[in-house]
Amino acid sequence: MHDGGLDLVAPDDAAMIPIERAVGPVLLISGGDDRMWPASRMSRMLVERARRFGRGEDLVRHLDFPEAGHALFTVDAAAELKQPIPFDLGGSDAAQAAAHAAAWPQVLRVLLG
Amino acid sequence: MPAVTSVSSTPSGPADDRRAQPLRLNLGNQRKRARSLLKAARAGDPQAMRRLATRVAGGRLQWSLHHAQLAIARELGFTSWAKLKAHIESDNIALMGALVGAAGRALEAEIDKPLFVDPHARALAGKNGFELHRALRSTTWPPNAAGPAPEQSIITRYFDDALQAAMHSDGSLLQVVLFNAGMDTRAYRLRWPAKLVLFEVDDAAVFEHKEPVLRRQRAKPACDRRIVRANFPAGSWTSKLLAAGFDARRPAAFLVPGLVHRDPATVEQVFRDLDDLACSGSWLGADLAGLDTIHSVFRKPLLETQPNLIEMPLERVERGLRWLRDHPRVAARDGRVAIVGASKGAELALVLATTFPDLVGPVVAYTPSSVVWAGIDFAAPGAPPRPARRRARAGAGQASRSRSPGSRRAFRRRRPSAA
Repeated sequence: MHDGGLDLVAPDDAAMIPIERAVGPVLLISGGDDRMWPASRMSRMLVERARRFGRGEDLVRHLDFPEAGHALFTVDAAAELKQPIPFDLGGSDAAQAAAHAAAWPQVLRVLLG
Repeated sequence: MPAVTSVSSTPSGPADDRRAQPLRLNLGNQRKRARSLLKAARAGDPQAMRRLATRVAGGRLQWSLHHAQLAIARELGFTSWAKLKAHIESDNIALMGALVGAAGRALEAEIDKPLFVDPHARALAGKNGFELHRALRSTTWPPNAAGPAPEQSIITRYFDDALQAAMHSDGSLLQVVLFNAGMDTRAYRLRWPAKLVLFEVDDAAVFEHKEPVLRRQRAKPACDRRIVRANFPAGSWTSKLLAAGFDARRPAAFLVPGLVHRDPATVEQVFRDLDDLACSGSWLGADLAGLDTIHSVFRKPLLETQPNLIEMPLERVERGLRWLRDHPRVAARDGRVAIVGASKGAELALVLATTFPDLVGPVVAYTPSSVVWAGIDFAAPGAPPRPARRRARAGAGQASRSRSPGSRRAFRRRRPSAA
């Protein structure tokens, strides 16, 4: 769905977020089974954009978890039980939990420097 | 907050069919409980002594009130009496506002050429009041979060003068009613005609805090001061005011602060109630604003909220980022803060990092986007919240639009206002 729009966006298109302007470091974390929007593809686009501007892993790194869905970040489980999110977010709780745990040390590294 | 529930001790019959309701902690009651616990322990009651011994470290022979208060606080799940007190105070919106007001009046006295001096404000505000005042001011007026709120000081002084002028120009006004009095000390700090009766109307929790402090201050009112524990404008304040000795056959001066924050229906009700009560020759002081004023460009920023993921002004986040960066307790590496965002929040995090590179350093973007998509308007007809499919299709429509360079305007930019 979102892919149709993304097909029309080149890495140096003005519609792209100009990732090269960020100071960083930027860590992108995506799930391959994201049914909300194609975060894996969009993360790759950002990495590609950075590369075109001569920036590599010093600026942006991408962790992709093929089995995870959209709810990769911490979700308030109790609140969700009360009012379930009415969207298909993809992935499974186990896949998300595994991805979250695997990414966490890198998240800390980015935040703590 | 520790869960405290009142449960009926007898099986509920038709006469006692109340459901168990969360019980609001009351400082006066907790004080009483601490005093009776202390009394019992001193009298040698083994259960009371055991309660004290298990909650307060160190076996003691001599117990004092602060041990008993600590025991009570710990029984309720707080680490100290001060924490319990702060919790109770922050749980009551009327009391919280009253403490903030007192802190502002205390701070006013400390500036050069204060508009008034309130000798009891510092004690009435307490540590909690100053903390609340600072927290509030640092969001509404960060450049001078430590100072008094000028608009509040001006209102206070204005009504000080107006009340005094009304009293002294009309000898028949011998009753004053201060609604939502909070920690107001006009009864103590203004000069009143002899025989003046002044009624302070406010939530019971306000007086729960105020009266002991004034006693400790050995404050002496300059008039016949009476307190009326009633909620205003809702609540049965009229009957309670009459019960406290208000004479409806005599004119009175009514001061109704804060009407400017009330909706039109409430304001009309207040005027109707006062009109029913007041006799001719009475005086009314109130701060009011017309709807035109409320919706004017000057007020609009104060009323703006962000219920939706559309038209999100980046400047609002920018202000937040600056506040964070400059906060003494935030460790901003190289003068930049880090952002963690997910989904639309990741999109926003990346837009912020690339728009304000002087403010934002590290970014963790969970399930991010590479472009700025059109926003999600939860209030729009036909928009989410319901089925996933519909939501996804709406996204498809947005996708084709996102291609245009102008799509980044989905995050609305505004010219920074001169602050």
